[in-house]
Amino acid sequence: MIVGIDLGTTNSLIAYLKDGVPTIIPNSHGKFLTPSVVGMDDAGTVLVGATAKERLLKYSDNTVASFKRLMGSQQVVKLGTQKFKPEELSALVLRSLKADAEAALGHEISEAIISVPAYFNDQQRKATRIAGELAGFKVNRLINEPTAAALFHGIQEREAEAKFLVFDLGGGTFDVSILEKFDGVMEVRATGGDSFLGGDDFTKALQDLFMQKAGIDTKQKEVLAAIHFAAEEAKRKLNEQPSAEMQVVIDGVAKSQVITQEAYEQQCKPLLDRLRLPVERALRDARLRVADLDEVVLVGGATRMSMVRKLAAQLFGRLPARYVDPDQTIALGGAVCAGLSMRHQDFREVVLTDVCPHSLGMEVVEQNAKGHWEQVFMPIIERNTVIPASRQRSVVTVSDRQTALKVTIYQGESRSCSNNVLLGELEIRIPLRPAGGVTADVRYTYDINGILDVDVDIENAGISRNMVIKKLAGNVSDEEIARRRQELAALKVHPRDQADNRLLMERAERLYEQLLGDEREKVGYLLGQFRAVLNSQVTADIAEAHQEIWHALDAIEHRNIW
Amino acid sequence: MDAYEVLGIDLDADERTIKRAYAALIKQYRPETHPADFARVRDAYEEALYYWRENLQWQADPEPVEHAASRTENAEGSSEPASAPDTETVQLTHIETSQDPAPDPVQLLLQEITSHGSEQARLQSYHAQMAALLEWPLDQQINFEYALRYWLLFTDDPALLIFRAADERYDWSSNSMEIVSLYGSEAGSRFYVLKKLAELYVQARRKNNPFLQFEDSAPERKRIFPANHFHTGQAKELCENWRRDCKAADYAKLAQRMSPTDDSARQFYWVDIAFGFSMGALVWLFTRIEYERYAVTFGILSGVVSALVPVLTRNVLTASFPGSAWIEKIRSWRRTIKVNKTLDLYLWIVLTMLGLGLYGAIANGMIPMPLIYVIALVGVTFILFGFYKALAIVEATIAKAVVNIWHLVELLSGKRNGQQALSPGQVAKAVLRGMKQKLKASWQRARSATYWWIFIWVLVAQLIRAFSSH
Repeated sequence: MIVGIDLGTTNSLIAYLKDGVPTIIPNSHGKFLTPSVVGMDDAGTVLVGATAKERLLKYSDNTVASFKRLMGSQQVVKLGTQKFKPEELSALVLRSLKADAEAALGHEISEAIISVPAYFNDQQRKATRIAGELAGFKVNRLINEPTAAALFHGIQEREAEAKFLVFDLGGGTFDVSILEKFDGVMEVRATGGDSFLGGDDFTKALQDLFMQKAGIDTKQKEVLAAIHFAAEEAKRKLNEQPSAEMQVVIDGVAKSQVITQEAYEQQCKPLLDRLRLPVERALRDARLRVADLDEVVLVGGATRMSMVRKLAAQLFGRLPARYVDPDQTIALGGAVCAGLSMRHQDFREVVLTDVCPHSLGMEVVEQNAKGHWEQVFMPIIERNTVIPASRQRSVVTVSDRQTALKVTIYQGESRSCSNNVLLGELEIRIPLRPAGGVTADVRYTYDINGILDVDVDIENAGISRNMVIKKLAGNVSDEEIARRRQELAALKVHPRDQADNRLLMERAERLYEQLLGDEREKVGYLLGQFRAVLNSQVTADIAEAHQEIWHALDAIEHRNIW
Repeated sequence: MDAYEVLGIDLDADERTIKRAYAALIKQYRPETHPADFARVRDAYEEALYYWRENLQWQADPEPVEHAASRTENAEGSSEPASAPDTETVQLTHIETSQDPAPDPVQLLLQEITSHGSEQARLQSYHAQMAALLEWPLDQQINFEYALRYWLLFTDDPALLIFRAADERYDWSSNSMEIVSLYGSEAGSRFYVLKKLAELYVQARRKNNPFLQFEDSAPERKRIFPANHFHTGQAKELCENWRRDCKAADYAKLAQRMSPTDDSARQFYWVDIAFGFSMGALVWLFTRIEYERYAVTFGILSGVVSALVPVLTRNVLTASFPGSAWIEKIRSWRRTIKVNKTLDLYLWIVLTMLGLGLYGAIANGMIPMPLIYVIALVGVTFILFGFYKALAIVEATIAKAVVNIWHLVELLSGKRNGQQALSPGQVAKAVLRGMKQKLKASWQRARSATYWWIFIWVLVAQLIRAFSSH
């Protein structure tokens, strides 16, 4: 059994193929979305998901969110006394999803397909793969998020032949993919995106707007977390009503501001502008006009925002299609991809082809019109080439009696290599010849998992060298992964059967922090009541009290959080 | 054709057939399980589709709309990358893309921006139009980006401020490979030179540099800097040169002029040659060695040999030797090869030896009188030219000093662009730091300057004289 996992910036989901129908597996709280938040309590117990998210407000030092944005970097996050790398934090989320799925399906799950933003580069992909392995999965493949969403959409689509654009604005990343479907082939024509733009930035904009209007200027983590919570709520409200009130309690004083939709849109204008460029670029790469597209599909939780929908409608000159639950499409697509991998009978006639999102090439020197030598990037596999692909280009030596040939492998789109990402280096001793006397054939082979294989052949000297670029995220060996997996396994994790009660306590505590006056008293009372029931240890009572108090909290908060 | 064999279809197959054949094949050779076979099928598919698109599509597809779309693609995608396009072709390429007689809105927009004279006005117009552009349909916006980039790259009158703003907006810098694949690698270097120029231009404006601001802000500059006659001529010349190079679209030269840091591209100094000759004469006059005839022969021979060695070894001796072509050759080496210091030294030895020989010949009456006058005249001209150059440098230095003092006053009084007034201590510190840097830089320049060799030769001459008088 292979599962499909959407490892998101704000929320993660796990899905599987139930009799040929992709289905999301609920977590221990019965919800589909598990917040990608990891925390640690004073006892050194790791908390993941909704419980950890409730603690963001009060224990912001020991709780971390949005760590997907750090993936592929060497940055370390401190939780309590322990330090975690971003891939380890992701592994904790994946492990929690795995436990949920195993509990729901009743058997062990060993393989997974994990989605990554199409615009993730090699290092970020590698980190994601390591996260999967640390969580105890065999990572079958990594699938690009918009590809997954498009795959799901393509399966639903009645038309046998169609071209459509998937506009995927998630919590932390923005991706655009253009797909063509014909004769059972799902072909990705082009992808583009911005790996540092997502719903979080829109929340941040609202947060800034509020701080600006209320005249708050602070770096205190607790205050910022409180404003963040309020901003998230207001953001949701602003989709339906023309204005929303934001209230935050700072040092016992309630500060309140009314934010109008126009003011918010004005604040988000730079963000909205950044959504245009990837769309333009993807259309150009696919050699398509807007008129050629049969459909535009919005996926990702952030496309719920009315201003994003408005922008999409304006850009494409039509109403885009959207799903009731735009945050689920990627995970569902991952499950479909798992079906393809398992050769499920329903999908036997479907083939998915993806593209590589960045150009891959090497550094060469080139003589310009004035006779100066310039160092430039020479692409070998151009971006949006269908993968797996293998391309070859020849280079020659430039100076007499050149002793060595250096193949510097880069990924990116800029002509000057310093703006691109360095992937590796290969230095080859060559026989001494006059300039141009040695010709090297450089062949790049890129497979569907984004692993690059570089072959250098120097025919007239009988030299052949090969290099596989796969160990990039800090050169991690298999033993090291095994060691780190054991370290993670040694961490205490909050028991699953008590997860619901813990969530309730944390939520009540957060509300106690956020509210004032009577409401605060009431939450305090409910909290005390629930503690008493918990101490009685009568399972039926606890379950009943849990339900009652949960509804009471809902009523106080006027909304359903998750 | 190989691709058609792989797919198992006929040469006249249409798009539908090609796609069907491809789809059937890759269901056997899936990308996950047969990567090598898949890659082969995919390549064949792309080749067949390309062939169909290039050769057969127009037959199969009489629809005018589709046709126009594909023509637009061709016009933009492969518009003769190698040839240096001029304004006419720019205009043609884009007028062609619009099928209907009504003018293309993209072109109208571009014309509106370019109709303004000064850089600032253009930039304002650009920003205004960009705001309006956001309301346009996406296809038009994409067309506009193409047209704007093409115009910015190939116009003979670079709009550097717009270039900077547009580069920021569209992030061309991190996607510059696209420019290369569309317009060739020459366009790639043009792009980078323009980018650098735009940076320099903005920097120059920011620093209140009198040179580049010369035309844009003449009245304002007169107010803050009334006595500007010192550098007026120079500034005018710089501006003129710059404009001329822009017009000729000689971007490589332009970049060189704007940032002459590349050591290998130093000028060949005529003044140096003149000094070389005169110093040779001085050496001769000072020493007055007794065995004149041998010295003369030695001087001439060694001069000729040392002049010939680099020419012969570099294998560039041509029919025009000796003459200006020869100098040109040396100049071109000095631009391209990285051994300038050694070459400088070598050149000096050659020139001094030649001068030695020449003056030896004059002293022994081996050269007729009229020729001696000509030589003397040439020498004097060069020396005067050198003085003129030195004077220009002094003039510019004074002008700079006046500007700097004016800025000092502004800084102290806090009048400069609303900045806060600095305390005299802060200003003094900054000035000291600046002076230290200046001194360091001029010492480094002086150390590498060829004029040192003059000094050394005079010293040697004095030594020889001292020894020979004993």
